[in-house]
Amino acid sequence: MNDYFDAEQKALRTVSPSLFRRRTLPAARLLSLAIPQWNLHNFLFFYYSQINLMEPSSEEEYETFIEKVERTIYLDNISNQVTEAVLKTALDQFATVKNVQFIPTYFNSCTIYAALVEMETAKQAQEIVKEISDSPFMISGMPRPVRAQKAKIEMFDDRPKMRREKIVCYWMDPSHPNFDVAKKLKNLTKKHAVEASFLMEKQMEEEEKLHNQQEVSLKANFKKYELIDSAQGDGTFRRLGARYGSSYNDF
Amino acid sequence: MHMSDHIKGKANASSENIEFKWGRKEQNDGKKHDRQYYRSFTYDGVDYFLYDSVYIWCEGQPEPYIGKLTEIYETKHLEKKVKVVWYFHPTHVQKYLRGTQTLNNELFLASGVGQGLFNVNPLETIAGKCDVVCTSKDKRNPQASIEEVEMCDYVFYKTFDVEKLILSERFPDKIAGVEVGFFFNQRKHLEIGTPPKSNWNSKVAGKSNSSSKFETGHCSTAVEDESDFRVPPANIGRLTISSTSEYHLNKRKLQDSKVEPEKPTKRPKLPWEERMQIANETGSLVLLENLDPSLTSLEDIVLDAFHKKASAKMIQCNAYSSPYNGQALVIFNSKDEADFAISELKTRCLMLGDLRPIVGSRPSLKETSKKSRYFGHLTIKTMKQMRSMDLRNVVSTSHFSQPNTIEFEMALEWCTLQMRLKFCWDALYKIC
Repeated sequence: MNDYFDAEQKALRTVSPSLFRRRTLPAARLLSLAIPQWNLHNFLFFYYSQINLMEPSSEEEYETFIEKVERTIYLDNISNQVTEAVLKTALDQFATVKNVQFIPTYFNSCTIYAALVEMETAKQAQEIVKEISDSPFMISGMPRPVRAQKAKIEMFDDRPKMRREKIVCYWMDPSHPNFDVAKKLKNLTKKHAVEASFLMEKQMEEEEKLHNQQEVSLKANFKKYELIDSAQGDGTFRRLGARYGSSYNDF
Repeated sequence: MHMSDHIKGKANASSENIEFKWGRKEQNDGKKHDRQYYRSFTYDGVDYFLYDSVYIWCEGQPEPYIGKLTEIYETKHLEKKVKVVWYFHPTHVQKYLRGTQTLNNELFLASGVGQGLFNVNPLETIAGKCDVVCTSKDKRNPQASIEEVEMCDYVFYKTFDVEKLILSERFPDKIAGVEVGFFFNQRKHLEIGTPPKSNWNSKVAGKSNSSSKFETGHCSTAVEDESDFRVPPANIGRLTISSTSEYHLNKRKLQDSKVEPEKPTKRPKLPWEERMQIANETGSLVLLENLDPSLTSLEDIVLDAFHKKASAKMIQCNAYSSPYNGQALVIFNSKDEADFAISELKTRCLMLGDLRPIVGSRPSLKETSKKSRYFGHLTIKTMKQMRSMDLRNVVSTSHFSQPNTIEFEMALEWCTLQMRLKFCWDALYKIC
């Protein structure tokens, strides 16, 4: 742990001082005025400690947020046509919907539509998740059912700042002994992102496949019903029944 | 004189939900009686004082304008107004630079009489405080320390005459009716609002009389010698104009292009999506990856790492997002800043707390016009014959499907697929 801290300190010291220009940090500026000689080390130390002193939001605010997360349902496998009103009416049959928020997707690679639906109590939310998971539930289309889960903190947009969230960031130069490791981690991140978007693509393909397959079978079923319907209409049933000596009502 | 009260009435439209409080009142002697002048106010958690430099947002402009508050008042219709004397960014007056070298963070103070000198804007257009330091050698200007110059957002030491369209290092006695002293540094009095000179109060009272007659550039102050001019040597090397040179502009050119900052209208109420699209088009949008997904104060990190104020947003997770790779989008102020950030992230490593090197790139955003197809919702076109179908009465109302329908069977196929894919995702994100 000590080594890690030392490395951090060292990295901080190697940061070019020019990076610290043009930063409006009133307290730091006052400090620099107070020190007659520009003392980079002192300043960096001060600066560094500034980073750690992030203003945490009040406990209360965080607690309220956690409660909100608890009573929120995450819904996906919904069509991009679904609106807030549709979701509200869909879930109002279980309990009163307090708020609906869609999770935006910005990237080409992501085609997921999802929404966060806030209920009145955590218990209601749990029950709805259970019911929707137990039997297929359709919203604004069929036969693909929606999927419901408990919402997670990271899905929310308006997260309050974490209590004591400690943010330390520093630049690592190529001269740093661990630079290669960091480089590898960066490449790994990129690789993982590509893998995820590949799986997303595959998922789309699978969905399309199932969609087309079901479309075909639905058409076939529909044709069958039409055939039966027309056979009933034009008296074929009656004639066949008479021929085989059974009543037409058996069908 | 152009009084551009162009946005009267719109002012109260955008002030909802933003904390606001007036500060000290100013005495109304000698001023217009239909308004109450103030010396300070608190807006969105920031205290503003008269003669502060501020960012002013203008709709449709990627970068805010910068100006100095010279009047703060409330009209009898309770509209909050500020009179802002503009600073010009070199890019605003590019046509009139004529090869003049400018510093990276240099501004020109507007002077003279005419459009572009100042505007009266709704107070809500203020987007934040800006630290502008005057590095003029003018003896009326309390010289800034090296530290101050290094730490500030912008510096200025030249004026731009909006009438004659010339740059000059001379400062007139009054700009827009305000004593030039208020445009210079106020450093010697740390408590903001205290007079730079003992007769400050009388000056304020007097300034309204002169608001209609502007005295333009007949200032004959001697320039102090170089030794007093405390600016980092690196900067001095880049100053190429001598203090007496003025740049006259080709009058013919002026006809087709009047210079003036466009009129700012409203504080940016643009939703994030729109700003993001604009940034994406201008190339100032950056995608950061490998962040801690639970991170909330990303803007502070951007500020710490790149020393740029940028708006940033964590991308909300969904059920398919990696639980380890938090992503965020950052809107930098310009393409250059974004380029710089990306290249820094490429050549060096920005380490975040728990040993995460951050990856930066340009995101490939979805085109808003193109709606992707949603699979899994089937309809039958010939509704007339639907009577005999199991799927008949359930067109788009939400419902649980019943086990004796085709729909139910198909729904189960989807459930199977969902489960299968869930296992795939779980396997992908599993740590071995």
